[in-house]
Amino acid sequence: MPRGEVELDTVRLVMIGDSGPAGHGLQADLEAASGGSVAVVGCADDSRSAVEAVRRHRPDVVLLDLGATAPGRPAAGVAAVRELSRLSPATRILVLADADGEADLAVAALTAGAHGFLVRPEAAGDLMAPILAVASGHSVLHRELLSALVGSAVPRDRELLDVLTPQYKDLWRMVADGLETTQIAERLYVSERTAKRMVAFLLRRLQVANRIQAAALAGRAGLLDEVRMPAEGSA
Amino acid sequence: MTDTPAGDDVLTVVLVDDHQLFSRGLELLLNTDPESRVRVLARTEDADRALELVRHHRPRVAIIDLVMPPPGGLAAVQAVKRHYPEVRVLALSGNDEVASAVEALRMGADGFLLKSSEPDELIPPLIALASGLSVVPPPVISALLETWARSGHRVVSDLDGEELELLRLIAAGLESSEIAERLHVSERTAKRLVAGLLRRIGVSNRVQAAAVAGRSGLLAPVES
Repeated sequence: MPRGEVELDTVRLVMIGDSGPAGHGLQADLEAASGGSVAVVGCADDSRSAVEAVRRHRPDVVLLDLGATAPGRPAAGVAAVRELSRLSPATRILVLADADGEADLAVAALTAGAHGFLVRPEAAGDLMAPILAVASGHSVLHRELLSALVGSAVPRDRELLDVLTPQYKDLWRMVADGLETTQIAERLYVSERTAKRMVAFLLRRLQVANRIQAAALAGRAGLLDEVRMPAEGSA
Repeated sequence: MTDTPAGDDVLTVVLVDDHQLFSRGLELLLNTDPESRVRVLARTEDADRALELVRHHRPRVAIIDLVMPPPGGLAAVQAVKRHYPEVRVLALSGNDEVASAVEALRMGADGFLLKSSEPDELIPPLIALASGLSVVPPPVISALLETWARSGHRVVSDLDGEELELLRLIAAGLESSEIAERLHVSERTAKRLVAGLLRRIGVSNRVQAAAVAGRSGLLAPVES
């Protein structure tokens, strides 16, 4: 990165939504707390001026206040994240939200290219560590959000997956995908009668009354998350 | 190492890593922070001693290497979080396998860092972690987002209370007539509602809807 030696360690920051009517005026506190490690090089209060500021300054980090950038329209805030991340891929975007309740909003922001998603802290000084952490390439998010994301990767009834043979797991996937007996028979190269018998055996083994319940159980057991695991690749 | 009590604002740390060279280097680095924000209270090379170390020193953060001889780093992470959930655990690894990071987070680790991270850039993530945030490498987030997208969480979280109830009835294997009865509507209306819901969650039949419901965590765990 061709930059003056003096400024090499200084993180160049653009703040979006901080100084507008709905903003929180963190800039002065933040610079005071940073002891020179962060310099606010630009500010913007809406998506359009944000694009302009990022284009002009190519900052290391953008601090984007979701509530203040597009009050009441979080989707517009997420769109801004997407646009800025496309415009300046090397810039890390740290999103500030009002509350931690909305996992979907956080997921949307992270998917759009944000490197961090935090609930706005009481003290501006508490933003220093997250800003420096995203600047050096880490992703930072509030703990509950990480738990939600990791939780979605935790199958609860995995034992079932361990007791079934790979063949029956395949059969279970077909059932969960809503395949009819004839289609299953075709895929397994067996007679329709055999396919029916196999499905009946599977349902007994799973202790469920019908195919719909078998499908619900497949989702819960994590069977459907396994499909794309490389180890079980369907090459 | 002398064990003088640390002030409230000093971030106290214990290190669990079998690679002495790395561990000593990290200790030195953290202890010589110009702003004295961090203090390493103790180190161990033995995963088995992680819990004992935490019990004795009560640090704010335990930094645990995942790649260690048995019982291994994962077991240490799990043990520390089970007994001292308030102690923040930062898992470290020299290999960038996403799966092992996810496994550590599943075991309760609050963050994950690669050992190849710039050493002088470790303090901000450490402070962020101690303040209650999670710090992980972006590829781990990408992997988790992908799982999330496939898990049905997104689809189901868009539904309102009535739609969720209907999805539960479908996943329980109820026929249209039974659903109609439960919802106090005509069978025709029930059929129309079901068709609308299937469209909304993007599946083509009731069996697939049940799979989505199961996957999203909407249904109660299996009765054993």
